[in-house]
Amino acid sequence: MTDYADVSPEVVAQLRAICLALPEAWQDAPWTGVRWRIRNRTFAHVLAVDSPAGPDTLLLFRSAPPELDVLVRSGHPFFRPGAPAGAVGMVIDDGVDWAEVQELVTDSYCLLAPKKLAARVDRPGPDGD
Amino acid sequence: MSRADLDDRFSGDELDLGVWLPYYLPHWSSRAASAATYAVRDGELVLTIPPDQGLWCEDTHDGPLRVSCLQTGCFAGPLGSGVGQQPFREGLVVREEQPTFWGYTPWYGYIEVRMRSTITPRSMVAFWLSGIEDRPERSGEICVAEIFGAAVRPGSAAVGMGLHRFRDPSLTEEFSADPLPLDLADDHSYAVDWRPGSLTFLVDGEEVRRVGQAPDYPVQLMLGVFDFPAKADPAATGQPPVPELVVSHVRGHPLS
Repeated sequence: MTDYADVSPEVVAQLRAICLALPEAWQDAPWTGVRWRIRNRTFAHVLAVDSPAGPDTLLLFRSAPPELDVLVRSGHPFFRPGAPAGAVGMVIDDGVDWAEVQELVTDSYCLLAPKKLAARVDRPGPDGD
Repeated sequence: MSRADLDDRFSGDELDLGVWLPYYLPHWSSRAASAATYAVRDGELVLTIPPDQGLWCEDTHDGPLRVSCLQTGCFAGPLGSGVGQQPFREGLVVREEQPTFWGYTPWYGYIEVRMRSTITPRSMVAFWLSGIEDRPERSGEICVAEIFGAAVRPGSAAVGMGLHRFRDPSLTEEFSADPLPLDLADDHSYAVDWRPGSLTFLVDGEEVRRVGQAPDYPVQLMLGVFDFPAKADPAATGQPPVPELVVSHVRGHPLS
């Protein structure tokens, strides 16, 4: 049985800073964890599963090929949920690279946001420029 | 260790106590305090939590919980020891010794349940395969279907599935509640094809998810309905709603 736990305030604060910097993004509390949305679409959802070894914190976001395939093939800390399409899971632990998280969450936002909002996001192009 | 196959269609009016133990982790409380409320009738197992059913592990569990859950195995240490399956916090001790029971403890195979349910935002149903935990590291969990009423929407439900590592250092956490187009009031089958290094999850015969790792030891089946009184609707009056899990078939067989 899954015993959901509260996500650590430090992790929520990191993600909140990343997510709410995106145009018109907003935060709410679903049935477990904390999620960030654009319009009525969720682009990041963090939750924690309790365990005798300490809680596991999981971040769910969206991706699209070819990055989606690269992430899923790379294995831990990434994994692929069964739905919705393009969902990616990531284990958030002490070694998390928050710059990478920011990039992934920003990409997730841009996949789900209206084009006019996504166009306002400052992010590197395909060639890194 | 246990039977190789299971094909329980709940015929007759008695639960097969050679397979099922009708208590939820009784070592952490007692059989009396962890007994499931159930009936076997018309070819179905019906698990419910009536209004007068008490709390489970009231003084040790974080948050009030009521539960009717069956399990196909049981292992715990002597009275007062800290050895027992599925500890939910540090410092737990065995409060009632339990005989070791291996009713059905598969190690790889195809395992499926067919069930429907009636739940509300304060309740949950679940079918999971938990490592028998005769050693602490044999504690990984294959979650086949776990559905919180709060995660149910018209025409869809978020079905928790995947792998919990718990105290197994060879596994990594790989779990999420995936939105699927299901009406819980209808019968649906939930299954896992469990092979060395891989888990394939199926709903109504359709593959819905793959996981590229797997426990490598026997597991026991856990099948139950849970109620979280703290999540009650504050505006509700009268008796709490009775959550119900109706199971028409549980089967498991070795890999072909």
